[in-house]
Amino acid sequence: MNILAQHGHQPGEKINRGLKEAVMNGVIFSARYAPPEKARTLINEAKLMKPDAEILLDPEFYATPLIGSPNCQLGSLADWPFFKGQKRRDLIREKAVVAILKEAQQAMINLDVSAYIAPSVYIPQSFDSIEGAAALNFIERAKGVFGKKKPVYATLAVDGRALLSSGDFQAFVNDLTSLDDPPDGFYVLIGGGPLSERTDLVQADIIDAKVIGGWMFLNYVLSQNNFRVVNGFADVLTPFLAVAGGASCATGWWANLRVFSMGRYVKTPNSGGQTPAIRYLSKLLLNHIKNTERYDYSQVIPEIANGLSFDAAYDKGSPDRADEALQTWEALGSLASQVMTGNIANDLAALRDRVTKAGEAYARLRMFGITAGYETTTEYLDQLEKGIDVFKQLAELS
Amino acid sequence: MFRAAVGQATEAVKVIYIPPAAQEDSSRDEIGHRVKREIEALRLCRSNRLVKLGSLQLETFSFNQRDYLIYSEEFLEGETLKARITRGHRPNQAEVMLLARCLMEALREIERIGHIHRDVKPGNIMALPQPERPFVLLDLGIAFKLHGTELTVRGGGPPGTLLYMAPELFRPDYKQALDIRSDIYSAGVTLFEYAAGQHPLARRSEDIGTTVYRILRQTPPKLASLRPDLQERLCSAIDRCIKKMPALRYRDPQAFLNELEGII
Repeated sequence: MNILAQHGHQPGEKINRGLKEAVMNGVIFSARYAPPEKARTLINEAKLMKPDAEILLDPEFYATPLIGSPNCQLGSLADWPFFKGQKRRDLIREKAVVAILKEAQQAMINLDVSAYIAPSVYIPQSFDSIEGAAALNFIERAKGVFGKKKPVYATLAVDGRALLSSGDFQAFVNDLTSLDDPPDGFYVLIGGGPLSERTDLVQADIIDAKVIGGWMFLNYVLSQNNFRVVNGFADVLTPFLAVAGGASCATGWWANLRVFSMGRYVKTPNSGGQTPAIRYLSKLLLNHIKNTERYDYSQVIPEIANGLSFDAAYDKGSPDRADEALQTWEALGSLASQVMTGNIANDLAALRDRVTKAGEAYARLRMFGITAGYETTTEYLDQLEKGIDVFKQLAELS
Repeated sequence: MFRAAVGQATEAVKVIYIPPAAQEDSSRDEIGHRVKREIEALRLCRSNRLVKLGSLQLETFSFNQRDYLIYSEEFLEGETLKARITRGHRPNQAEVMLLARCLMEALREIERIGHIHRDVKPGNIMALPQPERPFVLLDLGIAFKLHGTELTVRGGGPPGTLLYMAPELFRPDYKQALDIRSDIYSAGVTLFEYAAGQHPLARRSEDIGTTVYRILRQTPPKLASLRPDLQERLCSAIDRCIKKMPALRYRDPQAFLNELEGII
């Protein structure tokens, strides 16, 4: 399982340090935050840091419907030649789709990426929609246009709500796994997260068991069909997706790099507010807690601190944003490796055990009078556990 | 079907009666088209995992004022899997593997010519005393050309044998869901039944409604629980073929054959 950095606003030295210090295995660069020339430079730098790194570039074509919208913030996307508005009905026409894919391929052909992420559209509410048909159209044609020189991962960007309708979801997956010219893998984005990086998000905003289980199921069924699955914006769900069969999971440093949302392309009224507090990802709590909380909680339950190498910056009391990002990647990698044995029944039991232990830890903290965020956290843990059940049912493992 | 001498050879002569109720032009044509499709599919297949055509070409004839179609296939001297299961035959690991390989090679050939079989079941598989041809898949009578002809329907419902039909074929829009994975399901049920001596879901003296419910909803037992002497990996591969959701089965017969390669 590869831990990847999700590139975004203010990367600083986070990515290069992460690669150099081997706390993660690669990067998904963002076309929004890097115009073509800069992307080439960033990719080359990353390769220097770690020659075998998994380097990808998200073309973010799915954001084209926002072109011209008031308050849209599309960054460098306009500098990429394929990033042009399209008529919705054209996206189900082969000719138009092939033309978009060709432009994207030409734009990426000289980038030293490990695999191409082929563009596609965002499925906003239901798989049984024009966008669902258009996405299949993009996915089916991606390999043919991008060619065989490098692996091609088709973008599968879906709003979490689309996973709630199991009939349409399963029909879509049946189609996806029987394409005549399939891609080598998928870049999966499940939407539903915060609008702004300034949000002080603690846990993944995806708190519906059906969405969690559905996302796991996508990883399972695609990997069972020999596709490589790269998950964007995975954060705390990383071990869950890894157990289900995901090959890579990416997470960034701001809230909107931890959970995907189309709202990230729109300026929100609270944009520019206070910078969120630096947080620490506790493996025991399955949660990002403030540095002060880490200290207080550890007095009661020492295991709340992970005891990994990037704890040192926190122990000194002055972690910076780069330390925060590196600590997150290190903890996610450690979490995933601890629950993965290769036997899915055992791994799911280990995940459930992790969730139970997180709940018990929160209950113990509450006994000591520490009740901050108790309700939301236990609700989230409850959904995580139910998500495992939803997954088992969808994957016919129960 | 009759065993008959055709020229110098012994062949299986198939005589299809066109009943009076089918004397209307459309029904008559339908029967004729089905038989022609089977013959055309068999003519295209090159694998000896499938029954071969005989020397008698398709003809129509009348006898006692009744109409018939007649043609021949090779005569196969052997025993159907159904007969073997009925007499309690318990195959070992090597035999289950051999059947799996032959069945999937037959399906791979059917897929190659752009068809699906739609009626894979123990009664349509012949076990032969020939090392180079141990199992042969018969009866392409309801084979369907994908992206081609309209489906042949019998009484309006999906064609096939209920106990071996994949769950998606019970849906009203089953025509949209048809692909080779439906045949992989039927092959999986056949392999399971042959290995375990019992159908994974159906029970004797049970009404059809209950059986259909089981096919649609109930999780079958793991084959390894009934045949712990077989390799776990082989059992899991067969279990995977009978998943309810097509995407959870093997993508195509070759994917199953690749899995078999890894089993010693």
